[in-house]
Amino acid sequence: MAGLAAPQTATAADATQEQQTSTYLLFRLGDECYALPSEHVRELSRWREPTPVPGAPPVMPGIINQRGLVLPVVRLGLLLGLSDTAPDRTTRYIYAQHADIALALLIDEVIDLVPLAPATFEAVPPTLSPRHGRLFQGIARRDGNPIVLLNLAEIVAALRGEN
Amino acid sequence: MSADVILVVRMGPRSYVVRREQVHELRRMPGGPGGETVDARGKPMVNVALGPLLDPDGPQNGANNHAILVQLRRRSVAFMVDFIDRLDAPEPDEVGTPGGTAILPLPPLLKRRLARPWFAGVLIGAAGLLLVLDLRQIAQDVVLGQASQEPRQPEQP
Repeated sequence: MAGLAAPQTATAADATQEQQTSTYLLFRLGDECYALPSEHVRELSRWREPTPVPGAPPVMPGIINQRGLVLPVVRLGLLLGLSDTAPDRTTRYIYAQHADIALALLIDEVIDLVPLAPATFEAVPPTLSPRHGRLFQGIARRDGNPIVLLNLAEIVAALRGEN
Repeated sequence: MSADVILVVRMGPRSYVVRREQVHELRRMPGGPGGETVDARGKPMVNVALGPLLDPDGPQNGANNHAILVQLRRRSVAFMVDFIDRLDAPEPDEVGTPGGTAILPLPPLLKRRLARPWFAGVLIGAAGLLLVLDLRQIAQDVVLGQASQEPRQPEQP
């Protein structure tokens, strides 16, 4: 009896795990859709010209003031190896937080805040270069379209120059 | 206790902040940046345009006819800028108040990636963010850079 019951329990547990979701912020960079766990997202704002900091790396060209906090602006597209786009009316900053590090991530457009089930995420394709591949947590699907899940801890490590 | 005096210096479209305590003298120098002259102590003085030094790729269309003198032990450095204004920094209990100004550290993530350690912080003012220059550090680096370009004296046996 126990031998028959066990697979049913496992199947039920798998189904429950697949149904467990977390909330993610979806956004666009170029033609691709990306996501960040909403727990890392503090706020969103429209683009405004950052204060340039001479001698800063191109990926972190300046700073902005958001409610009394001075944050480094991160050109996320450049960090991910995408071609640069000029800011327009849909350009936004995502104010993200990882541990004690706060960032203003520059992105092309905010799409939505959606629930995704981490158990259903696909692995990052091994064909990606290790340099970029480690910045991704996995691939999700929404209406058949891929969503690239970002790994904020690795993004911060890359900005620190640690990889 | 009196508040620190800070100076706002402008070079072309860019403005920065300098702590008055780092500045030995402010002077009008209509000739602009030139070669090495002599300071009030009779020691050599290096004249250098601050804008191109900070940001060689930035816009450079200033008059550069005001000098900020920083005195080092063996020589002085005259940083040429377009315009100098004075600003009274707030008392500690005024920092962060609406309409006030506050000097904060640069974000550590950015500070560690800068090409040169020339910025001491950021001033949040009514007009936006202004970078606070560490003028003594810049002066020391200018002098070191110049020393490395000078022809070396032959070593004595």
